[in-house]
Amino acid sequence: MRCGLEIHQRVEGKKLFTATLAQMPDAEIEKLPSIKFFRQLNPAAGELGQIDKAAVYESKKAKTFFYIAPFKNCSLVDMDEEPPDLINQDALIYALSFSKFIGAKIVDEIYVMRKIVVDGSNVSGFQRTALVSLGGEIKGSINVPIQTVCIEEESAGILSQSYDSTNYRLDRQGIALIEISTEPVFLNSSDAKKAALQIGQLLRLMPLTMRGIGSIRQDVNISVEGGARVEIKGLQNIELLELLINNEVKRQTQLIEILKEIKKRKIDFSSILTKDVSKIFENSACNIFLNALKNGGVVYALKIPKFRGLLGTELYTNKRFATEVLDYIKAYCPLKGLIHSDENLEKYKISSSELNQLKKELELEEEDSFVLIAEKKEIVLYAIDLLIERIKQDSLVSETRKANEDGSSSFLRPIGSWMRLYPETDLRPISTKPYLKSLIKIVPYSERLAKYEKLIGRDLALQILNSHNLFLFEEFLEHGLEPKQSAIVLEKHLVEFRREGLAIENLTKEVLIKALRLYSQKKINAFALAELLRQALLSNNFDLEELVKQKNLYQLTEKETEKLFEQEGRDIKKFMQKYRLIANMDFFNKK
Amino acid sequence: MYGKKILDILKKKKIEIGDEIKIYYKDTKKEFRGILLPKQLGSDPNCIVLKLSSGYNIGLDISGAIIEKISSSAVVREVEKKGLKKEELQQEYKNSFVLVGAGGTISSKVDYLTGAVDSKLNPQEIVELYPELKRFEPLKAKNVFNLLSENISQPEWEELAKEIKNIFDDGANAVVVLHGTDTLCYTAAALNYALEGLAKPLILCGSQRSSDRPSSDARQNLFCSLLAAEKKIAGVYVCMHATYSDDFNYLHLATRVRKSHSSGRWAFRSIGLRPVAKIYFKEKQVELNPEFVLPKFEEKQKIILKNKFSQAVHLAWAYPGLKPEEIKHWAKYDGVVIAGTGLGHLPIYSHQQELHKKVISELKELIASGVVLVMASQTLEGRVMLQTYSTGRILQDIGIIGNGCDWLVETAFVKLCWALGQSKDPKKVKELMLKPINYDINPYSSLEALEQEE
Repeated sequence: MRCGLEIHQRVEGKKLFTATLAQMPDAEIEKLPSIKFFRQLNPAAGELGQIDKAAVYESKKAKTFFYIAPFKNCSLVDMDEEPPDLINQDALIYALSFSKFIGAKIVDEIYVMRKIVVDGSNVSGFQRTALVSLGGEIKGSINVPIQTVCIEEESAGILSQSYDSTNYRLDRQGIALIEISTEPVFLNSSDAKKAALQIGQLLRLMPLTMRGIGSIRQDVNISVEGGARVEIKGLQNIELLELLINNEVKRQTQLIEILKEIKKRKIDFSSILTKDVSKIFENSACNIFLNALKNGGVVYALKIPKFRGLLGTELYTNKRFATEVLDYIKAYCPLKGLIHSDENLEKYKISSSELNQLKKELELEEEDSFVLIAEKKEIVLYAIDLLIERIKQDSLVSETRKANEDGSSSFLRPIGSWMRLYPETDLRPISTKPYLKSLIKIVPYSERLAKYEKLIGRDLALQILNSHNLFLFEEFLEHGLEPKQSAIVLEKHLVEFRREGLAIENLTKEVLIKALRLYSQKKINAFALAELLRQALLSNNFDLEELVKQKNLYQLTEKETEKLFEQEGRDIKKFMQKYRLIANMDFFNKK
Repeated sequence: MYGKKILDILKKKKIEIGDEIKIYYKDTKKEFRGILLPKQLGSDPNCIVLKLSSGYNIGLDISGAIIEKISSSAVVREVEKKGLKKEELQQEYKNSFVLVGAGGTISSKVDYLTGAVDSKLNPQEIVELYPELKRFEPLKAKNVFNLLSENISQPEWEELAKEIKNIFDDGANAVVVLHGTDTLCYTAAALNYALEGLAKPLILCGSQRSSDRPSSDARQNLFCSLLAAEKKIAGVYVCMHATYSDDFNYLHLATRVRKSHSSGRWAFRSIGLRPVAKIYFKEKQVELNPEFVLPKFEEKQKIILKNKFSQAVHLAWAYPGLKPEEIKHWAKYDGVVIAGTGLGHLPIYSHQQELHKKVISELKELIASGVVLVMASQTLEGRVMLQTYSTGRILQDIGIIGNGCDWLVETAFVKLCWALGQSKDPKKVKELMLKPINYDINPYSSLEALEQEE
């Protein structure tokens, strides 16, 4: 086994080719001011006049795509009603900076390409993508060799789908993504996971790296000896990466075994028998059959000679060969399920008399398999074609699979080829030289940790290094603000306030700097700092100086503190209860 | 095109476009392989463009690099060969639907390797791309020219009209012209005036989004145009997407349609009147607006070709501060359409006696010298009413025509080119101008047009 990773990271700010806001998708999209529209897509001939296999596959489904486009996140570019704007410079600099940091060869001219995708996930029917750099390495606990860094558009988000239509949200489409492809060097899943974590960590050290669910995704390319190269897309939970890879290896290994067995048994697929057996199940106790027949459908049976046991072969936990075949059928046709002879038929309430009639009808021998499919006739016939097509495959086929939330994967489409890419004619090539002067300097994790550990202690340093507030923290340091309280405000107080139900978005960067400056200038103490911010939120008054006065939060001198401390009989608990907000802590610290 | 420096190296190494090459950088010891692509205009002349095996194109500066040929490739040549114009066969048009290519986005194809655009109007290829067009077979095609529509003007209108007449004379059932969208309306109006007696469908369509993109509107526009043609509607029409969804097309009168958006697929709007029909793409239905009395379809039509268009016509936009010196320049034309403000005005400076006199005398002089001055309104919607304000009355008294006309600026311009192509006599020209043809001038402003639907 050998595998490589493709990490997709969303970039904050504006979308890649239009100046609308790139945001983490708002959950309640229906409530946002928006417009709705629908489209049908054409399988446009791909490069070299040939139509890409993956594109044809999608267009076979002839779906209608419905879109919802919130005003604040979408423009005519997103509706493919206007040519793209110039590339988002911030995102470009982001990708270039990353490339520079890993020591990649940055191309001198970037050519934006169109990657044909006709599943509706891009309104235009293609995704814009551009190769920014080649090569490079990410150093760390393992060294990760990088193949390419690309910058591309995020696809639309699926809201719901049925056989003949899909509903998409367009706030997501066009968000800038940086795609980092590693060389296919990982020989086991745990190395792959280490590498993914390492890449993620590096990305989080860059400003504009978007955070939150879905903001980073892993695709995996896996090749198994004797098998095929498979691309598994869209894994969001990195904890499942190892399981996903291991399952794929098992799947391919088992499929290879099944192929061997098929060869050994000399199975002749041309002798598969198909029959309408609706009559047998007219009065069946099986709901699947009854419902299908009631809705004008049929029940068909397939006899697959000498196939016994193969459909029931377990590929990995909860995934049998029959499930694999069903996934394949489902990708093209609205079939809900199938019943096969390697299953426990009692759970479907198929009676033994029905079974006997079926055996007679199909002239079933001991070593034969059968499959039952109940649906509308046209679907059944299509499904049977697909089923035969799938079990007849005499080698493993390269395919794109979708990562599921349980570490399994299912067939998505045949693998796309280079034919899917052709130049974006609406944009001119981008010369990279002018940008190389304005790259972001990335300070490595270890270097940052060493520095912050000294300033704020290891725990807090680790916390801030993994936090989306890292850059705010660093900005505070540049302002000469006290490091520890800067980190505490960002990592502790803001969280507390949010839990208290306060609108922390009102605490702008400027307000936080003002508050921390009051603390850094020793005008208030650490307790008062938190209280001040809380009071500001509660009263919606962000004139902090005034608030300090109003709430009497000015810090006492050491002498005054000492005096009050004496008055309280040097009882620290009592003293703190009364004077916590104004006590000069230096007095105690010195003691 | 590559710069001299690169061309010299390529020549020396006997490398041609389409060859697989490698570029090796001595300093970094890095090597890159790919297919050598031609260079786009306006990009860095020192960069070589490579197509990598992943499909991506990249540009690499060759300073300090060694270039070597790996192998000659046939892939690109194949593409080049495909791009070559196929020889047009002598075709029979009897009883068929004929697609006439005039260029533009809809009749062009992207070279997927280089991004260059070339012409494609081979019916076989079109049907291959859009299999649902089989319904309209026998489907024939003829390329008349392949121009971006901003470059189409009077000589092309004349040529196109003549070719279309020939195709109809040959017995074609309908003609669908594939045309760039920028000036589609001008050409539509021109054909409307040039083909007198046309009694079969002549429909123009284009596409706002190129046909190489899966979301292109070309497919629906083409299909709906042919569907309309099937309905045996006589006359000249424009058939384009109605909305930003792929739901239906509008069939617009050639004299009443305007491109009203620079890029959106719904750009074409009927002005002043409702579209003639709605054509549903998925449902394959044509819903005719019963309000219109359209020319009658006739199997045997007799087209009288009136395809002379004057090139000595000017289109002037009235704007605040337009000075008599500019009006003076109009003297070199035989006719001028003025896109006036509001009801059909231009600044006559009634508060500045000197300037006022000058404007009036310039206009009078033009008319006296035989220049035909025609007023249309730059408001787009509404009609020219020269009787309402004193400015209008003065202009009317001078001899500017167009009072009461609700013609579109573009239609008025094309009609004036046409009228001046038919006669040089200003009196006759004015007569031709003011005679309503296919709803270009309407007796009253329709309320129906008020409820434009999305």
